[in-house]
Amino acid sequence: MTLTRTVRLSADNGLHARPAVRVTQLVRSFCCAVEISLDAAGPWIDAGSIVKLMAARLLPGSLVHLRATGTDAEAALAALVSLLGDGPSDGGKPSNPSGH
Amino acid sequence: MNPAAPLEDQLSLVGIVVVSHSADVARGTAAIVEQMVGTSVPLAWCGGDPSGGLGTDVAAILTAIETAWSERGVAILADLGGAELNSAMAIELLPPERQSRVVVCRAAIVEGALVAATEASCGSSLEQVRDSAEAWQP
Repeated sequence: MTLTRTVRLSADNGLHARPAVRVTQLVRSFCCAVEISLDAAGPWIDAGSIVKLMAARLLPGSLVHLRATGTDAEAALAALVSLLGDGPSDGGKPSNPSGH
Repeated sequence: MNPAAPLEDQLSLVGIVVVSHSADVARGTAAIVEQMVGTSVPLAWCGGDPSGGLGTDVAAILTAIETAWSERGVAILADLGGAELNSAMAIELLPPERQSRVVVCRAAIVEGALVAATEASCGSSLEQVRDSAEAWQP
């Protein structure tokens, strides 16, 4: 089972080091494989890899695509959207692009 | 993970040791790691020579390894050639059964420590921790 979600990174959540650590730890606490991309067509990167997340330099306000495969994919994506986004509405504004 | 390992060993996390020529760099690196990754990972640091100047000290590295010791192993992040050399000497002074469970990562000290500790916090093996730390490229 593969599920997909999109979420706009909140102003606090460009994937610089600290949020990248949180995402890695969250993803690795689930069984499913989770990938993240700036484009629905990919390229997809492993959201359980701190190295790849830090290298991706995703900026606050970016719309990111998430996809997860595995039995707990739904719970993993819900937790990730909650961690990364501003909430249920897609209201993130691309402000404070340095994010630090 | 080795399924034959005792359960308590499977549950423990790889430890991280930060070794710098400067106590300030080592302390600051450990502070970054602790704030970003949390306190679940055994973490220790040492820096400076015994007289308070710049350098590294084999005895202090040994103590740091013991402080961060985990049955899953310990990954060392060092900042310059001498730190790496003295870390290798400290490993040689460990009891034989522990020597193979301590590795020096060839990685930038701050980013390497952050990546290694993150990997360790996820329950990764010593090899995975080292591989991730060494994979990071700015």
